[in-house]
Amino acid sequence: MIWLRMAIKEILVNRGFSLFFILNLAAGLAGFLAVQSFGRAIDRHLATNLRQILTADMVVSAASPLTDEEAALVDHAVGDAAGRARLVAFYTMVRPQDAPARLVRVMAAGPGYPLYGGFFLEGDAKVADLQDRAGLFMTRDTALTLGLRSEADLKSRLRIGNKDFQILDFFREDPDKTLTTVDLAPKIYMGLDQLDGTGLIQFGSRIRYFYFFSFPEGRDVPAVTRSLYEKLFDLSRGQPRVHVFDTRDANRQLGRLSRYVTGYMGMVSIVALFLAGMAAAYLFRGMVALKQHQMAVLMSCGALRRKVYVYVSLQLVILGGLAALVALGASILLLPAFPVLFQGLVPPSLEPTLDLPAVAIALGLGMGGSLVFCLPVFVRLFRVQPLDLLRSRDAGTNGLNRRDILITVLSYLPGLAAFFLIAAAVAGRVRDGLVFAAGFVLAMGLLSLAGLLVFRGCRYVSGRSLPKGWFPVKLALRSLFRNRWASLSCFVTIAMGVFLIALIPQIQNGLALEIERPEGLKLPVFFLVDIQEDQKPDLTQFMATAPGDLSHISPMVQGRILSVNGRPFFERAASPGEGGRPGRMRGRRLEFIFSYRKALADSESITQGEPMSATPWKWGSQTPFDISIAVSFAGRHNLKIGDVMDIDVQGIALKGRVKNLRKVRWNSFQPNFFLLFQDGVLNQAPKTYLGAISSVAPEDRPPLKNALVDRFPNISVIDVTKTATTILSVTDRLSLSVRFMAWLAIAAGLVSIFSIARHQARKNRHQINLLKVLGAGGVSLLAVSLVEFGIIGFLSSLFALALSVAFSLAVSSYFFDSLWALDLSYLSTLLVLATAVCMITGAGAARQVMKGQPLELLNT
Amino acid sequence: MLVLDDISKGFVQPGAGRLTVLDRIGFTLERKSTAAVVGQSGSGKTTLLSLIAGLDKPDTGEILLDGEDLVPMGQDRLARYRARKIGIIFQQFHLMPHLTAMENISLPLEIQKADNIQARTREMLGKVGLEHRSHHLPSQLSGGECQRVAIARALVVRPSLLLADEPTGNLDIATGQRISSLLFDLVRDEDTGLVVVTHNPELAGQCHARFTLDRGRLVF
Repeated sequence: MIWLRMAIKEILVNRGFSLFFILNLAAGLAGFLAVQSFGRAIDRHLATNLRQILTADMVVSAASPLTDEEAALVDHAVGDAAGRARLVAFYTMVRPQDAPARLVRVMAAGPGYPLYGGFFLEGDAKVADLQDRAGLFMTRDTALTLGLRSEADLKSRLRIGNKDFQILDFFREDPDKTLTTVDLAPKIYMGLDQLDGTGLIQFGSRIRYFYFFSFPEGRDVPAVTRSLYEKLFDLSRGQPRVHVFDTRDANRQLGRLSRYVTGYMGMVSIVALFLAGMAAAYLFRGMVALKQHQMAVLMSCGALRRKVYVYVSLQLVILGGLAALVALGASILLLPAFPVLFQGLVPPSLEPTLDLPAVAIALGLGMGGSLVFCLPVFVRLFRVQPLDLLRSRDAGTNGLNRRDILITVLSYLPGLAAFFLIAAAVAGRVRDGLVFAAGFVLAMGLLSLAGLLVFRGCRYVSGRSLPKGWFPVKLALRSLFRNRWASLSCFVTIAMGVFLIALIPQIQNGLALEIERPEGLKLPVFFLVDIQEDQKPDLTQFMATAPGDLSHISPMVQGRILSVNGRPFFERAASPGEGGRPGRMRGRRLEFIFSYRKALADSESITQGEPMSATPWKWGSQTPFDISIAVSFAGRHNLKIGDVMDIDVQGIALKGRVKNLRKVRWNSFQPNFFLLFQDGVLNQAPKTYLGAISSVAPEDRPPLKNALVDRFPNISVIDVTKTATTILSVTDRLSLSVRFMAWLAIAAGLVSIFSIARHQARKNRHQINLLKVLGAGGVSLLAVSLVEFGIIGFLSSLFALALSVAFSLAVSSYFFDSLWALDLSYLSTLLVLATAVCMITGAGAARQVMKGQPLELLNT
Repeated sequence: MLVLDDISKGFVQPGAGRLTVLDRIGFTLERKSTAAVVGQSGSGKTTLLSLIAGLDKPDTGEILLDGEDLVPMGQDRLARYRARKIGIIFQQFHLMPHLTAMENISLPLEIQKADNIQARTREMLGKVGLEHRSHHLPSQLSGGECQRVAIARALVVRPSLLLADEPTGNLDIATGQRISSLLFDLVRDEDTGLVVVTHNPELAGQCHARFTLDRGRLVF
């Protein structure tokens, strides 16, 4: 009890130090909590949007109803699913009474569909269920595309298969927001019970059966999806016929972004956490200097060594706990105010809140973590001997023997292990944790080496004859290399802080480039589907005078990929699975849409390989034609440059070679294709065209759509603004949030750097005192401090930034599919800020000394 | 009774080989008597004191206090032994800066979990004449007052032996004289032995015995 009382008493007496320690650690922890909570809010935000797009948490789909065996597997896997719904979808021709027949996608929805979102009818009514309602539902756009314009048209009957239907009502928007080029046909909805009598559900029909599931909060949906797919894969003996996908597959790009953002959030959290730990450890050094003497006194009074360790640990735990409480209190107060405080910067719908794991982590880190992070400093106490009190030297400053060095080295291991465990937990993989921890050790080693070189350089320069007025520079350089171990620890700590902070903006920059909507590219308003070859010139001519730009007309040819490098395509795995087993591909298709274009679109750029030959490929040539593949497709199907692909285009076998990998700015919403062939290959194949119209003012859209349908009745006009807006609003918010999290980490990091520099500056006060007593003037004292801290701040930051460029490149290629962009303005700002923080804190300490009385200074 | 028998202590100095600081020292100090250890700087006085205090171990020889040999004792046992039997006064006082005068004095009693801590502390505070300064922190006390607190802290456990390392070395002559008088008065009152290391001939002159150290050897 005496030790607890003593610990509390000392904390209270040393209010200044305790407060500074608590506030610094609290700032770091609050940064960590903010990033964690903010990241979780983004994740929730994205998950909600993805759910709305997919209308469920998980979907199982097949070309025929599930067999009993398959259904049993699904039932077992989904267990206590909160909601279930069915949907049958197929393409068919629909014939309005006085209009030509059109291809539509019939969506026959069972009870409960959609599990998320809903059917919102014009006039704000919401339909819960389409069952038992004999008729069709669609959007006004779809009706227009079908040639139904007047009230009379809308009351007319539509024939689907063998059955006539009437339109019952119109949706304000389509609940299904998935968008792929193959699905580009107007959708009409009906109750599942309405399919009877159409005669369309029969053998040979191209029908897909969808089974939708929603789960209670907290269910690991990706794990359920993976497990179910693997079971179905095993059941199908490697020939999967049932697809299983979740929200991350609803929109592949958004799903990918979600993965990136989660990874990025984890990295920012780790960085914020480590910065907090580093600052705490550095501050603890100051406490230990005081403690070494007190421990010796206590031992001389008969206190047992281990009791004294308990006493110091208690203090650390109390301080850490208080810091965690302050951080939690600040977070509870500030987090709900985020959307208000940062209006315009943070999406208003984001509601960052503290959850139990975050609270537990904060308390754990504050109390236990500070012990772990401070262990390398704590072990210095092992060397304290009461005997030192009888000697002139300070307690605990005995020389190091081999055992001490070994203990010091070992004392870093728990911190590293904690770092590794946290990194592995955040990243979700042991290997990723190892990569982070190894990278951290490597960076520390390289920066230590750089620091030693810098101080060697200081020694060299100070030994040269410098002009008389350069006395402060000479003194600062001498101080740096004579106290090189103290200087080195400050150098490495600041450098590590800057290094960690600098990693974030570079990853963020690459990520932001991926997320942000491309500038200069016109977003399409309408997609025109099923343009026939002979309609192309007419359409171009028509659009020349119509409001809006026909930005792209791309040919589309359907075909199959038969094999790659002689190996059947369906057998190839995207990547080897665990233990060298071939991975089980999800949703593998054999049929794809191919296209060709003479030059790449503005939204595309080659990332690897050479451009395709501009010379048209000659039929009958023995040389394989050039193929350009989208990077995402290549990654998914394990394709690389030089791979030879056997293609079947409407019964004709063709051979092509992958010439380049192409990055597609997916959020440009331009008609893009996974596979582009060399000019000349597909030119003669039967094909249709896909067109995109952009730059149409909202008021011009309905008349333009009417005019297009009138003039080209067979062409489907799909309004993509709704889908594009939904997705772009998500990505815009993500972009802001990613930038915001980077600034949070930078702010937390700068606070840590300030603490470290302040501590070092205070340590230098005795030296500055002596200089003052010896007659050095105020300007000289200030200059010595500025030069010393300027050198440490500038050079440590410079090395750290250089290292961070290399590391961020490696990190982005390992974790974020090479999303990386050098941002010199960010790095320069950071260099200036870090140097300025160091110099200002150094100058502040010098000013404090200058204000004091010489006698008082001598007594310190 | 304190018995030092054939005590030697040396240190290995890098580049200079082994340096013998104490060479076969031996003396006996009767219970309740006082002794001064004098000698030039570097003669081994402080090393000798640290060995008697159990803060360091001799290379050879025995140190017996009240019949118990300190040399084979482990660190924990030594710490407990020191808490009960030995009080130490340092030249630089070495008070706990965040504890008041009273709390500093009661510290060894708290560590021992002794009885009547409050009463014993107040009594000792009275003996050193600091009742009116009991709630002051070391930073609020003068050098002489700090040393009085240090003396009170050393004596509060009623040790068999009090060790003092230049107890007046950091004080002016007048304060030093007052402190040394107080020290000897208290030693007498408390029935304890005293070994004092000092350069001060007046202080040494007040002791029953005087041992002079010269380059690690006792000179008689």
